[in-house]
Amino acid sequence: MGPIFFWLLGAISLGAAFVAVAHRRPQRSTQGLVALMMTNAVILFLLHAPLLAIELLVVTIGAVLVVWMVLVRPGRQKLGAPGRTRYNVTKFIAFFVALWLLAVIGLTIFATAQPPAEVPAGQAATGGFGAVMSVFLLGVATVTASVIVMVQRRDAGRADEGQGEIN
Amino acid sequence: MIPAEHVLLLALLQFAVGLMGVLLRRAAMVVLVSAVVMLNGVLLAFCATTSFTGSSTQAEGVVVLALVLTAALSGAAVIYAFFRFRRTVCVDEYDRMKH
Repeated sequence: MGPIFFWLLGAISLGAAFVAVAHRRPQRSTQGLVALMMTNAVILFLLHAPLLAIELLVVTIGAVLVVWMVLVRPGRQKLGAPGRTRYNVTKFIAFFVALWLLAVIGLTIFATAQPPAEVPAGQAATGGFGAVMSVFLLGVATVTASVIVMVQRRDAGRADEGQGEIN
Repeated sequence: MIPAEHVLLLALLQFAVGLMGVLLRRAAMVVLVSAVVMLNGVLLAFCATTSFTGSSTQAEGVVVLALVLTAALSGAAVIYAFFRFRRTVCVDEYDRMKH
């Protein structure tokens, strides 16, 4: 049963990889990448690596957010789809930072959940290291989000100078 | 129990698909996505070897995952900067380092 389920997930992941590589639209490529990462996370759960699986899922959620903000919303605005004409950057950053903080808290709980007597040698250090790496990833995500926001605000300022207020 | 050979075969297939995308595609974002697909295969192979040999823990895998994310973010930033400068996403046009 295990290998059958594994190869079922493997077929899905390979199909998602083909979509990510071969599709003409970048949005579909990125969606294929997200599907690939989610199936890989399930495979990592099967391989008894839950810490890596959780990290991969968190990365997937972050990728969905970035794709939605950088690719999907600007495309909808250019097409004149209904919705706000400006990014709600405050909510975006707050959600992004809250997500990564939740990941850090969850990984810390995961690292300290087992009693010390039952933890094999090196296992406790793994969880603590995962928490440290999550803090590092949080920093990377925050810096990236800040750069995106600064670029978007500068572009919005230039657009306002050239065409007046959009709203 | 999943045999280690199966996991390594799947990792190899994912790596091959990603390598095909890196070599054949011209859109910069798709090249970046293909590189991430390759790194996903590497992560899967790494996890397979460490979990089946029992010689290591998941810490090294977390490092690999952090490298994947860092590479993806920095690559996306470079592509965005080139797009703002050259107004194209074709990697064949990214020849500024030659001049």
